[in-house]
Amino acid sequence: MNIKEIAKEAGVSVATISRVMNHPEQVLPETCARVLAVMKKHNYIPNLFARGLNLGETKTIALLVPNIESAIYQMVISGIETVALSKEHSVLLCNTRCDALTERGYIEMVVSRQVDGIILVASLLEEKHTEVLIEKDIPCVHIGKKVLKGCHDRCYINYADDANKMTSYLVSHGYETIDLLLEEKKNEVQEQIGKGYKAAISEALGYVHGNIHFAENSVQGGYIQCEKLIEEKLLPRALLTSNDYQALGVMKAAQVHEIKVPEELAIASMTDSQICPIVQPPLTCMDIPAKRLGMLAARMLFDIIEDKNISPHIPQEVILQSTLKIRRSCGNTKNIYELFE
Amino acid sequence: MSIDLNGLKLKNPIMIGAGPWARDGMSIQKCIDAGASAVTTETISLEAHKALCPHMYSQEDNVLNIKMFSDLHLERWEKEIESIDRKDCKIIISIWGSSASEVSYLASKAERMGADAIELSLASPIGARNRMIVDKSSIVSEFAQAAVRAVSIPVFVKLSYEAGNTTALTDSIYEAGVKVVSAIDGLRGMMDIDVENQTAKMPTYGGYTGANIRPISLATTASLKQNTAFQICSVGGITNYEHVLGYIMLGAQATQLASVIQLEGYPAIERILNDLDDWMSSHCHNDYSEIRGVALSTLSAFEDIGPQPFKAILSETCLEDCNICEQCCLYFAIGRNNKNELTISEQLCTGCGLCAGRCPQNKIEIGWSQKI
Repeated sequence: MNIKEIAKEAGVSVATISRVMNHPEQVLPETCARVLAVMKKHNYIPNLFARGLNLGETKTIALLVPNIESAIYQMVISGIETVALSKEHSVLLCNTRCDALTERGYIEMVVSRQVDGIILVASLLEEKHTEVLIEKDIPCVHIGKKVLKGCHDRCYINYADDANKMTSYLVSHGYETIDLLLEEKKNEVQEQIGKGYKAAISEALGYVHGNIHFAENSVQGGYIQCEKLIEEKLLPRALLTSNDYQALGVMKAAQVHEIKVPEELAIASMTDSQICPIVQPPLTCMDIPAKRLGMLAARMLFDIIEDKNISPHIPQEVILQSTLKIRRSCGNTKNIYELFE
Repeated sequence: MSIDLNGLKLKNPIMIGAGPWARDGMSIQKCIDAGASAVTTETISLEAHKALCPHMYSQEDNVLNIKMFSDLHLERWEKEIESIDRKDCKIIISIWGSSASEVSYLASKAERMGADAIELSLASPIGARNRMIVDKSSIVSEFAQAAVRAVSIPVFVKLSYEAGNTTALTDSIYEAGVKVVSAIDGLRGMMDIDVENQTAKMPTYGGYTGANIRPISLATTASLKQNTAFQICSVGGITNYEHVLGYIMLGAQATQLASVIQLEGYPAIERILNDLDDWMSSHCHNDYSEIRGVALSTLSAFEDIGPQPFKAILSETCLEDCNICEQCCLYFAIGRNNKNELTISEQLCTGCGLCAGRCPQNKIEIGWSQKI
């Protein structure tokens, strides 16, 4: 049943139906009740896209994620979806594959679809690419440090701080060589981790040395890199990986080559997962509040959407803290550290 | 009889502290209907936290809990707060964030949700991240400042015992613009160890609350009142009106009920309120300001109190065979004569006072030595 048929049966004009849905206060209560009764009888559901054309709202938000296969981003997505659902919005999911061109294409696509708002994650876009957000007046939140045109609201994890904290923790164990394994695809997160790691190494005033390596973001990537270091006899005393997949690969390679963890090789990861506490030895990780980050980003976006016509928006910048989960893979033997930071 | 808390008008000094007894609209309504002047919500963070099972452990009149945050999402809280019929009760939203900007965001969100005030939870006894915060007054002041700047309603800070007794920390919070503190939070505690199985009965540290923390909270109220300019909401082991009056007489602006609701249910609020009203009118007090801080003048620094030649004195002949006083006397001053009557040796008695406190029949007093 369409809007015309509803209007006919209720004995009112199409414009009145539209007013009942969008500005019920402008319609006589009796008329309103009659129209709603007809709608209910026929189980009429308004076409949201058509509604969007009229009211400028589609009850849809777009989410541009660099890699939907990453466990951390999956938690971010879950957080966003949780809030969107409670706000009766659906989420249009776009995987930008860590590629600026794909991301630009997606921006154009979601803008043309008249979404109510956009969340960018670790965006690779440059300032000029987001001008369209200002033109079309589309609210936008960036889960990342970078400020983009039309997207001043940001929330993020301070990865440089986290990497610094984790590296300093490894330094405190007296390890003289601490290497870092990053993802081969460059992005803001990897850059930040590298920055924090370097700062902690140089803070150790020449007592600690380290090299940065690159590998695929996978168990296999970590495995191959570790094997390469073993064969080249370049294995450091401690190895920090940018994610737990890589760390698990490193652990497997160490096991195959009979290298004891943590006695001969300490391993730590910049992300945590459900697997990390159950492997032997349990992995020391940085626990990133990914779901909380997603929920926060969605809330910040709905704050802008809901306030759009009420008050001028003051851009927000919110930083969330990660937690160092000290387990057994770096030489710790105390339970209390395993339980608490 | 109304009380001013940093501009917030409270109809009585009975507030409800943050905890699972104020975990949603319905439970908050129960507190309001029982007559509380303000209710603090369970601590809200950006993410709902599933509670552990079990997360409450009871030991006599004390409770250990391992629930840190609310298990409801912010969006749900918006609806819960909306559903409340506030009457003349104030709603204080308790928040926790991991960084200053997160605190700032949550504070403004809470204000939008309709909070009358915000309580910043800084030092939870559960988990170690929070312990670190107490160690660093610079972080605490950054957090407090973030909340104060984000909103136009009053911001309170909930202090742990350690925080409440650390001057550098309380000073930095005050400078950040906070004028009201709630003290104290639960203490970090643990259940007994199951000796036969060689295991801990609780899987981690918990927040220890109840009657046993009252002496600690009383001392914190007294020291906060003397060392800082804060208005104090005292919390810790209140189960009757005398406890409320005690805190006020030490200078508290108001008090918060907490674990008593866990032990007795919501009717405890009404009972304490009624008893308090009765006491005030029977003592012809029209306002709490008449008794606020009156007991402070009876306190002195330990170094300033001189020893007095007091001794334990029996107020009547005692033939009881409970032997409690005899057993507890570390100075061997208590014995029996040939008629089996209790005797106290003035020569051996040091006037320590323990027997007087332990006697179940109150037959022993501490007074001037008979010989003087």
